[in-house]
Amino acid sequence: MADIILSVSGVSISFGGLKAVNNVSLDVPQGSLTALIGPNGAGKTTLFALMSGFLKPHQGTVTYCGQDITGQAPYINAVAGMTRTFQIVQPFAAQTVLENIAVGAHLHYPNRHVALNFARDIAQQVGLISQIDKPAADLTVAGRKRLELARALAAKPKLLLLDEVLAGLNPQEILEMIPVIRNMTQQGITVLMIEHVMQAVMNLAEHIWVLAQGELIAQGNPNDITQNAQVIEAYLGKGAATGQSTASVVTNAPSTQVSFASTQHTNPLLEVSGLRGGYGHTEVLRGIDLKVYQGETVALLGSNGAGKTTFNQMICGLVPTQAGLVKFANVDITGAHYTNIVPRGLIQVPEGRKIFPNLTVLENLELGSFSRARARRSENIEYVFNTFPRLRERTKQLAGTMSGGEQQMLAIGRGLMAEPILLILDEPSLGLSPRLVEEMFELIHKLRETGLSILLVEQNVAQSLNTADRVYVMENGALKFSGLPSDLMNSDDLRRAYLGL
Amino acid sequence: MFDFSILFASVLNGLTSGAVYALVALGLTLIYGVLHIINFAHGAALMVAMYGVYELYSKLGIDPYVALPFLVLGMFLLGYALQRVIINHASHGKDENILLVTLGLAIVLENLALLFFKSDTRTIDTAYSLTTIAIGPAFIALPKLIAFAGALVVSAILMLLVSGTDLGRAIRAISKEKQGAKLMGIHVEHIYAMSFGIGLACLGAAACFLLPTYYVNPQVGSGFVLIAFTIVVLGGMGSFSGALIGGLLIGVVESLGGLYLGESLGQIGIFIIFIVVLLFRPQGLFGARA
Amino acid sequence: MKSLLGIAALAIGVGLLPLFVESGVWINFVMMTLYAALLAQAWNILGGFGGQFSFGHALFFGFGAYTQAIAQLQWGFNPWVALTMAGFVSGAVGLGVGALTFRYGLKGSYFALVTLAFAEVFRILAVSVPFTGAGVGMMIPLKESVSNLQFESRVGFMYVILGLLVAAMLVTWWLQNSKFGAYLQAVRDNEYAAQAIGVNPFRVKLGAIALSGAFMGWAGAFYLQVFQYIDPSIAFGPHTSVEALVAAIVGGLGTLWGPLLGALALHLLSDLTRNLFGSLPGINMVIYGSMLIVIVMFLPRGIAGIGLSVTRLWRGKRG
Repeated sequence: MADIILSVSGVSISFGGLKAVNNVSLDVPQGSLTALIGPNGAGKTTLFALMSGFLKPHQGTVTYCGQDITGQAPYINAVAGMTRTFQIVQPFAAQTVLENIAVGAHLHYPNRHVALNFARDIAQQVGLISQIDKPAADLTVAGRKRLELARALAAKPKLLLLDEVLAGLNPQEILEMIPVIRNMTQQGITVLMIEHVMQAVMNLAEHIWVLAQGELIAQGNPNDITQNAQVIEAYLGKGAATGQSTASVVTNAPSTQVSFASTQHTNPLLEVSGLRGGYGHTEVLRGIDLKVYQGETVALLGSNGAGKTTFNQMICGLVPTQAGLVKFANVDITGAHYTNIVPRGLIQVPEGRKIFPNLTVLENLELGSFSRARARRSENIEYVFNTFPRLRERTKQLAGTMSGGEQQMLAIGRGLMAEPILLILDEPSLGLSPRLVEEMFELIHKLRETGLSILLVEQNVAQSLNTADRVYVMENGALKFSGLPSDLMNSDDLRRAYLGL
Repeated sequence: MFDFSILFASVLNGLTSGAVYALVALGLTLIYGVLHIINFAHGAALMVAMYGVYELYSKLGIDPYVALPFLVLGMFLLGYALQRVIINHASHGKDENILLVTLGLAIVLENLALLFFKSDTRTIDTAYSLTTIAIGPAFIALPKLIAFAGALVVSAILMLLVSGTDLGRAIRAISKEKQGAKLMGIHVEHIYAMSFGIGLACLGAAACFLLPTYYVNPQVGSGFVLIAFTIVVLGGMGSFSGALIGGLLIGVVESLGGLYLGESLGQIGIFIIFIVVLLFRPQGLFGARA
Repeated sequence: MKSLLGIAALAIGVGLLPLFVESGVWINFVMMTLYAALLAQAWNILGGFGGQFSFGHALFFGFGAYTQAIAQLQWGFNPWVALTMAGFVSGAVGLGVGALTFRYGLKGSYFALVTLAFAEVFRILAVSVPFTGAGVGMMIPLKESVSNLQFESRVGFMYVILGLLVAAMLVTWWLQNSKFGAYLQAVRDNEYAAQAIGVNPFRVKLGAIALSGAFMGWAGAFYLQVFQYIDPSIAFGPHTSVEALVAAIVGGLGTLWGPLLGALALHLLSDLTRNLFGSLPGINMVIYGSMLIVIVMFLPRGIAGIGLSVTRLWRGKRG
């Protein structure tokens, strides 16, 4: 029975009214390779911050090597042998790869030459030796992830917390990283990783903890976890675990299938061909072809980091396109400025809602018609309040003080103020309780019935398949599936993409 | 120590200066609240506006209060142009760069003024410069009273603009949620420039209120900059009502400080308040904890 | 190491200069350029390597100058001893300011503003207090001799400033090649990530501000010896703060040669302007301000940055 190197006990922390981590306890055995998984927003990174000292828990304790380190400053923990990497990479951009790693090396080697030499060895170990004189800002995503790892490794940790070190990597790069991670365990380093790339997790981890809505909902070895109904539900949505959901999808499909067939002959409302692009050096989208016809609800699914939000940002003019074509209502809007896109009726309700926290509910709605449908503002406000009675009760309340569900309603209401022709909903169910998620999808149904064309971008699979006429699945910036919901539910692609089976 | 009438006069004078300080600080608050820029050029811009008032009066005989709309418009255009053409392009994504650019602008403006106007201190004498009004036991100069009223009126207009118009809502929205604003079709760069322009327009008004009782020389701006910053920080970065109350407070502190400690030492109180607030209560009296 | 050889070359080159150059004007130019380079080098330690932009660096300059004056005039110390003291006093002031501001987590614009406020506070104090000669300032009597740190020709002063600058450059070289320097730059580039691998940001920043303050103080003491006079606005006023930071930025932040290049560029430019337009009031500062804007907009890595672009490219992005 191995010693326990890190133990969290009853740890909780809240932000505002939201309990980000709620009474979590787990013990990490020394020398093990374990994983912490869970859907987006589950609190995994917050838990890492609590473990490493970047945040102090409101309740509970953190014990490392038998010592209580609750709330101790991160650099002291690093000296004691606990280091971490970050979900969003944090290189020292102005310095070279070697210099970056050397900062970590200096923890145990004060002499510059010795530190640099040791850094060189570490670079060799993670496969960065050919790039050691490159400025960190010039590395690809895969390179930066390796650098992040190398820098933490150079500090000679006993316990290494890896936060999504595989996110954003293509399948080949993932394959190349796996032995690097395994190598660390072989050196005796205890590794705890947060990961979304299920294949890797199932392959590497001896033990898995599953976090959802800030709570530990399951733990066990990979096999147990993938069979666990609660886990499947947390990821894919209610009803996905049992076979029942498949049946309900099929029974709902026929009426929409008819309308789908008839719209195929008209021009699509939104037509995207060969869309490529990304941020800086990274190519996120590798050639996307997608259509939405008038009156349709199309679902775009994919796990975290697949590129769905980048796609939305690109068609709305927030991120520049590198190649491809975007046509809306027969007008070429590729690369258009966002101030030209909104007035055309292409409206997005973004991921994370992005309501204006310092404005009241009413003011948020008023801004919804800043560039479109301004003349009918008062009527539309009435319409929104009728659709969302709870918003009417809160007209003068500051939007930032509302709950997640209310903010989501506000965001959708705000989008409706612009009288959209095509409404893009980006992860409307994110962070909502199961009951609110049900309400959300009921609303989407209602909107569909008014004839509104909807592009629904989601991680919550089961409910989306229930609502959509057609579905696309994106993985690593490319479309892996395009077709009917029933076909997707019956295929194994889905399970594989999400759970790594 | 001092008899009541002297104290009373000092407080009143402090309030009248404070109102103008508040107006200056309001412009800075708008710029900081929206663009998150510490506008080091704010004082120099005020100085430019004051020279504008001076030249209009001495060369064209236009009374400062009559010149007010022109100054406001002129400063607005100057601010819009500065933000859109220079400051916007300088940031390269780093806040420090904006800091440096506004500092550079301040230096350039101040020293161009030195070049063209020499370092002489200039004042204007209007017909009413010496008129005083009795308020209780004190006599307050008429231009100061006009400045007090005028500053409050302009501040009120500004606050109405920000709270009641689409432009104002857009400005406030961008200060906290830029992406969301873009998705409404709000042109972020344009709104930034509008905010900067409005911030400088406040200075145009302030200059018109100041010149009848104050003086202008190339260095006058740097004196105002730190006072304005102190008010903004004291009132709470981004809070308009905070800037207003903070301005009045600082005006009184300065006046009383000058009374008890003498002209030069009296100023110290302001900077010490500044340092203390920044260290121990950076959200100011009215700002929200970040 | 190449850089050390470079510094040695500079020292020898300037050291031998008086053998080839007779003109007092040129020697003065070199002396003033080296002096400006010292200001910039001092600022660079905290601003370029530490990433903390101080807008009130004159605070340390003033403390150095007044210590030099008071130690000689009031306490009868030898100027060389006073010079040593000046550095330590300014370094201690740096520690004090740093302890206050960094402990309360002041960064970026807030830090810049607070340093400005500190400088102003002491300027006002210096004007008001007889201990510092109030508004009249302080003057040291003329008595030229090496032991009195005063020289008939500028050559002597040039050697003194050369020595101080070389010391500052050696410290800068050390920042580029030591654990402390690596930690300081890590804090500059990403304080959050640096903590995760064992860096204590508070301690590191404190060390930087103390070093930076000390060199700035030595510059202030030097100024007093050359011009024999100091008053509150020269000591604590914005002119010195601006000169230090503009030269450092124009030359290239966080580099060894940047401050010297920046100081040289700015001085050449002002001399050129003076030749073309005559001695106009304020023209110098107009140039400094314009250069600052131009460099930040188009060459954010400064002049030294162009030279370094082959080996490194810094785009100034965060992460």
